[in-house]
Amino acid sequence: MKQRKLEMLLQKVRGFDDPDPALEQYATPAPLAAELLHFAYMKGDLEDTVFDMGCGTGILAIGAALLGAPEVVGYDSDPEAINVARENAVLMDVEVEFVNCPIEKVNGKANTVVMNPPFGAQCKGSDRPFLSAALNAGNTIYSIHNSGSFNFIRQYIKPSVITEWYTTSFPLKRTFKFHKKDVEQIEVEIYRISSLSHHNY
Amino acid sequence: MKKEMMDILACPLCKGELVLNISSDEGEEVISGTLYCAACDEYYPIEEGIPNMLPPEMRD
Repeated sequence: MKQRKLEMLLQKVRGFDDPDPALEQYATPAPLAAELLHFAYMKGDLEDTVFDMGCGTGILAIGAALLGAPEVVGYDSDPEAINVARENAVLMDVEVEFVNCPIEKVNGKANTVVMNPPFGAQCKGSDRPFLSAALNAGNTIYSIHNSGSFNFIRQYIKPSVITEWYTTSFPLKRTFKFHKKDVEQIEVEIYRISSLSHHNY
Repeated sequence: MKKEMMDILACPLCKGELVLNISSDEGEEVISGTLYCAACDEYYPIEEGIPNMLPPEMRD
């Protein structure tokens, strides 16, 4: 499936009814989700079990299933988001499991983790437990971070390593009152991380 | 949730094994039931196919 086709399909995925700013609950925009997933697909990383950590309303998990990932599990601590995610999976006619679970309590192992963690814009350091949980659960991690995260991530994930990363941008629609513009172009970085960590964070 | 999800679910408190009790299912799909941790004597509900692994103090 072409990236543009995936993006069009993912436009149908419903976002949050009542986003919580403390959890930085903004739905990953379809173009950004399609870009990350296409990257993972081209690297051959969607051919086994895929976890979506902090899946929200499920766009990355559903997209991974659309691209043929045989087993996809989405985890989120917010029961309302999980309910919307489940409805989205039915709407998109894909088989995805969803678990209502805090990220640090994820138990299973996956070949690949995809995630769009909170950037820590509202609550500094809130992306850290996501990185730790992802490194524990997955061999390869695809993650979206705000621009300028490279040094932090490189240090934080040691002994795991960044294998590739690049900067992209996406239009963020106004979600919260403190967002000043109706649509803002946000620069983000997409990382592919190879987990070498079998120690506990 | 599919019954095979039991392979990757564990008690969020002690990481121990859980026992599945099914109230309703459709083939391999568990619609409702509970997951029980004997070590913690704690139940985790499965509702509308979604296992709720939130520790008890985080539930509504």
